[in-house]
Amino acid sequence: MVDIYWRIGTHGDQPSLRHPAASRGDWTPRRPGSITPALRGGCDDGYTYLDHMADVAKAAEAAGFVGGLLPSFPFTDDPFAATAALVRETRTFRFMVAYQPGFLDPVHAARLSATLQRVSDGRLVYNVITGGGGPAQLWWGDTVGHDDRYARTAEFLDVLKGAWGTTPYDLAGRFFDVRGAHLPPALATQPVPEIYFSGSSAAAIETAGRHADYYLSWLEPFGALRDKFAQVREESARHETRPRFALRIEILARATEREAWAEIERGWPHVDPASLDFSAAGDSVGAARSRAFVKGPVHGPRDLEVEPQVWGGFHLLRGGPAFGLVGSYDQVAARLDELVDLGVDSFILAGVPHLEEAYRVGSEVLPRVTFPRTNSLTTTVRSAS
Amino acid sequence: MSPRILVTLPTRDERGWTHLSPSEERAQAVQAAEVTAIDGVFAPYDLEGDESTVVVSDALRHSRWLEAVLELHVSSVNPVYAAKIAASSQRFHGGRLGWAPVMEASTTSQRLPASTSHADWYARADEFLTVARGVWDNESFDHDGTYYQVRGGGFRGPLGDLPFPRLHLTGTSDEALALSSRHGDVHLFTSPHERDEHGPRLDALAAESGRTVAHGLRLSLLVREDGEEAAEHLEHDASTGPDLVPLPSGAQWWDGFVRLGHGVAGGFVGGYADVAAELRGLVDDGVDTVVLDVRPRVEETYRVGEHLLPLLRTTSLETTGAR
Repeated sequence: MVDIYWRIGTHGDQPSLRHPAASRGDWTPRRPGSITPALRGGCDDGYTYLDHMADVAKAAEAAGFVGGLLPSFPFTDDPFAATAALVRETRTFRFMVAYQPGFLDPVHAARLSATLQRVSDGRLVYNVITGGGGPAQLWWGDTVGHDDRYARTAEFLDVLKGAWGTTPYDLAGRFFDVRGAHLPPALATQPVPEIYFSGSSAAAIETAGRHADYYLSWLEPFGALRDKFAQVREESARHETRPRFALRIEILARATEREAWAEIERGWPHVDPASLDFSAAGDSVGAARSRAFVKGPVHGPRDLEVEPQVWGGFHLLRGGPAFGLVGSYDQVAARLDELVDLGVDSFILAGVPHLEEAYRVGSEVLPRVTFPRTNSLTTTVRSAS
Repeated sequence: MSPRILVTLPTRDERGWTHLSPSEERAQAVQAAEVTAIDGVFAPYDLEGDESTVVVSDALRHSRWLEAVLELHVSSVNPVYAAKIAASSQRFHGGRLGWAPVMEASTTSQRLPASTSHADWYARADEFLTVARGVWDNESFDHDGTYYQVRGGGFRGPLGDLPFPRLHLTGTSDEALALSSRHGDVHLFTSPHERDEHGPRLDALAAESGRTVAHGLRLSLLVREDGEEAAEHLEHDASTGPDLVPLPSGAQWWDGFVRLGHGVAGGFVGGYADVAAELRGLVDDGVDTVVLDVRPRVEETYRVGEHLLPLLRTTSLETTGAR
């Protein structure tokens, strides 16, 4: 069974890809047309961006997604703060919380997570990020380097799982000092969240791979994904684990392919030409890979279509990763089928605007895929995972 | 002046009813505080119970008026991330989050370098609060300390202009009072006696830093229509004979509330009028905040809201002209 997640933006949203201006949330100045908060009589109406996040979660739940990913960056709202506020407003929706293990104490993380599991009937999922590196890590107060961060992630997850029980757990670790850690019985019986692991470098698999339930990647050209999966399988075999794969994919699907591309063509005049220079900083291997797939000069949007339906320019039209699928409902569903044949076990889909596109993708694309997928509306949460 | 009254929320199952989920039981306690015009709720750090961030977020989402104070061990999260979570909470819930950092309670894990002594923990807490404030108040913040290092930190945009969580601190050691004098908004004492003994020293230390720190109390409470009824109730519930200390008002002080399952040992027992007189005396003497522990929570929060609060709050529709 393939789990299909949606995404809950933690940094506002824009009404379409045609104009880069955000209107949802308060990251841009409030004006008539702003939502959460909106203006009434010249004053904020008292709704906050959390209310919009709640609406997207409910839309995704109703549209047949098993849950949603909540990303975390220095400029975004915090996924744990949102999840802890919203779990009781949804029934089946799983909250996939992105976080960096280095910033939390592992036993505290276990207590926080087990409490969320208890309150939500097991609807917490982790997206464990080991860090994009560069200035952002120092912004967060993290001075540990790339390969050491994976070692820390491994130690963190060792402790989190070790303490997740009633027997006292000790570890004199490289990063953490743990003495007699345990959970009270009511929390210890909760399930450890599934782990979507960001990072598939050799260092990642070597040090932390034993904890990954899913290797989460951004969409790439299919050949590159096939090679990457093979490499992860080979690396994992040395550690006697069988990896599962998840893909984060932007979706732009319309009734016809022509309509889908027309959306992008309308957005293209707003793209800053300077951003077409595909170079950036940071030590994220994933980000560097994305940039490398675009060959030759970029004059128009179709120059970024690296293979049919696989478009590498979404980051030019909204914040976030570059690659996604563009096409008719049938074409996009067929590409998702192919990805499952390639070995994908789980998807995190997204589209702008997240609220309306959750309904569209849920009603037009999901019914067209042929692989078996978890239907959270007919399956109870615990047995689904 | 009316004191700010908070009630403490449960972190464990208290009724033991299998058909009532713990979060629903807690939601009822939050709602009781919300509708009885209590000022806020307090979510304690409890290693053997539910985690307080979850408790506080849920309380804030499902109330309109309540301030919610999060008791959080300083070992549990790095200060930048703690502040980031707090900033989102302030955005989501209209600035109603408070913090009560914990240093002295036991913890089973910490990030290296480890704190081992009382002084270590307070040094760590000082750095924690310096960094949390630093990234909150500045768009570019650097810190190079023993426990925490930050470069180019600082919240921007809508995360950058929010009220810092009202800071509640506690303790009577030199380190505790010094920390409070530098960072605290409210210092919570565990009894009027403790406040008499250490309050003046805190005030003097705060004055040296050009600050003032409000005084608060964490108290248990057992109130009934009169003292006799309260005492009867206590005899019925407490397994061993209570050692009550009579007070001039007619109310009594009791240090044995843990025997009733409370998290706070000391508090008042008595009739509404007598206990209100004690609290009014404390308020007149400068106590700004009272964090109450009452059980069972829902029923006794209603009792406090309907019977005790009217004796402490004089404002009415007539005096304000509001409708």
